[in-house]
Amino acid sequence: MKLVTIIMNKRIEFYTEASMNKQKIESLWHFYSVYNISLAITGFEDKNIKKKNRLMSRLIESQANGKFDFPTYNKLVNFSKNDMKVIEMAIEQMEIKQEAGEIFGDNHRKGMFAINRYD
Amino acid sequence: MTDLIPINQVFSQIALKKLAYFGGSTLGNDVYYLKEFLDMMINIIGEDRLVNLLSNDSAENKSVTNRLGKEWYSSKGMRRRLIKFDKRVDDTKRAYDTLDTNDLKKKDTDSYKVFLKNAQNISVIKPDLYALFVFVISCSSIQKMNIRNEDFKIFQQKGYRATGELNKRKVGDRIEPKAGGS
Repeated sequence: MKLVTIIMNKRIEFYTEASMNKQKIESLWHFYSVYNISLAITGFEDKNIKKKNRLMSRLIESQANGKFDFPTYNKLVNFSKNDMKVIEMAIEQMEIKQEAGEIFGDNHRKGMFAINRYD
Repeated sequence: MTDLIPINQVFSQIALKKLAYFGGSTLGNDVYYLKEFLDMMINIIGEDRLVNLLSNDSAENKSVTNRLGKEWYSSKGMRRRLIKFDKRVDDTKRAYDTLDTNDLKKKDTDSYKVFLKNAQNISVIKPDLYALFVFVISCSSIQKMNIRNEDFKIFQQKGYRATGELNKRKVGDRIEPKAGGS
């Protein structure tokens, strides 16, 4: 899963870069993209998905209308503080898998049997 | 037990490019490339084989992947949802293509507003789509590959580098000797 780790790391980099450049919506989008991947890795279930999607949609709409909605933005930022924990767990999980792969050989998805071959 | 699905080298390169574009863009434009990647991988792996793999998955996210596999062909299944999703994503991509700059820094233009209006229709959290995305990568041989750093930044800079400095001599053209000798 090296490829997924690379994409996640790059997204986190872009998230930091966008928040430094005050690109609020872009940074949140990058963040939630990493969060999406983290959910798929850890298998966690988020019960506030609809709420967060609605908030994000409202935020984008406010930007399109020229009046940035700061209360909605703050609500999403508050959500993101908790969601960061899921991302941290996903990254930890990936690191453990990678380390185990280095010691015991390649670690593939459960039930997948892999052999080295040249196509 | 299933064999890790080998992906042809040419398709791997195309898939990696699409993933890089996905990683480097935002506001629905990224989802367009994600969708393209998924469409390609579904065709390479084979739909029936993928459904079978999803239904028998036993990784951490198996509750989602197994459901995706079992409901794939149903009216609310992933197959239908992917087709419906096409239109929204295409609209966003079309709006993105009309923007003056790739990096989304000119925020007061009309085309940027149209782009945002389209982006607001795409939900930011899509667990099913991303579960399929991670699954497709994890069961294929591209999972160990690497993406070039420059490919991620296509949307941050001004697209590909200009090719103006390249020598445009045709393959069969003869190089004329210089007047001075050597």
